Amino acid sequence: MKQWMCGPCGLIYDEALGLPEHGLPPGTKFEDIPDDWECPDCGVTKADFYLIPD
Amino acid sequence: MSQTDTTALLASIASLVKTELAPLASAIDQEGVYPADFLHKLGALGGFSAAIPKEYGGAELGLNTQIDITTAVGRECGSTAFLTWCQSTCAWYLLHSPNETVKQRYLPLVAQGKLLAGTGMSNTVKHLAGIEKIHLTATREGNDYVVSGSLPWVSNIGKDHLAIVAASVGEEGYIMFAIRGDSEGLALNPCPEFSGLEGTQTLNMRFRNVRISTDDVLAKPDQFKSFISRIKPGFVLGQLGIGFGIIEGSLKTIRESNITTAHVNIYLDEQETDLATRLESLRKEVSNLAPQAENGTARILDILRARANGSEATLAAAQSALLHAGAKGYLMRHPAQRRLREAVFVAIVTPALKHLRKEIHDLEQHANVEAA
Repeated sequence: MKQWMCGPCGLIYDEALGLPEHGLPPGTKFEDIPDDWECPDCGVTKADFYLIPD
Repeated sequence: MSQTDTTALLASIASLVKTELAPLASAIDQEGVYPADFLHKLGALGGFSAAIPKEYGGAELGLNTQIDITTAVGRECGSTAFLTWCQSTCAWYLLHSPNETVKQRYLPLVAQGKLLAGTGMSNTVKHLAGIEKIHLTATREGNDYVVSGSLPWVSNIGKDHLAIVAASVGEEGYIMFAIRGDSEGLALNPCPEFSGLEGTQTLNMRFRNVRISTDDVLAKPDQFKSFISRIKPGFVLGQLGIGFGIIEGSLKTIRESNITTAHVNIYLDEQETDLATRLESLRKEVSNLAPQAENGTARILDILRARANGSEATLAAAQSALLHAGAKGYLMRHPAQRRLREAVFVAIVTPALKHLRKEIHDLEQHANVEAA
């Protein structure tokens, strides 16, 4: 399970936790999120997220 | 410009700030109270229009007076000083637009505070400095543009506000345009909670195929480069007023703290006289640069250096105020902790201190190459 960070606003998407309140159950891999998904806090797309190294 | 007019305007604004803004400062910062009523009253007095000619509803007293007004507001409330800067800077953009239609449509309303306005140029300014990618893209459709994308945080906006932002038009370059908050396809979403300045009505702007009429465009792609060069010095310099106000407020806290604990405060590194001297020196520098920003002769490197010095002086003053106040300054009801958060805002709002240092470095490197 990996963590991804939104470039503009710093939101962390943790694959283990998902974002259930935004329709992403725990365990949802970043690659399985639809491409038109938007950061719930700032509205940018997946392309603006960066993988956080372990 | 009449000195009597300037003195009278500043006196009436100081009085309004004291009676109607100072009591709200903490609620604006922490509870998200947006001071719309104060902003309208400030606008009616001429609080956003000092650098605007009379033919567009301005007071025509100069950019220095506008910075003094922002300082007067910031003496009591950094959040509202920031809003004052947002509003007066939107008027500044409109004033310098080559599009007379957009200028006539919005400038008098914005300058007089009848139409409140936010500037969403942070992303573009950072993009142009090579810091991040641009978030709004536009495609041309006839004479109009269709814009999509998202701007994470834009302040002083709302459904009944105006915002001025920019978008990339692919190979053509960029456009800068005005947009009403209730435009079709534009969503204004709340942001996560900030550590301060909660009452600045800072929202996330999401554009989905928003149509922009050519009449709302401040600069088309072929005008954009010269337009940005024209407005940037005033945009950056105007922010110094926020810092000056916070420094003055911090000096007041230091004086108050010294009433009871001067005997121990004298051991601190940054004393009131040191900070006051630093403020005076910065003021002189800005006072010389403001007329240059107005007539289009300012060197951007001088402006960026002054802004960076302003950030550093504001941080130093606010930290010193907290250290002078001691433990009681850590209470939420004490202004010292608010001043510290406001000072940090001055150092992180675009252009942030790290951005300024990068841009200054890049310009100095370029100058060295040219000289070699």
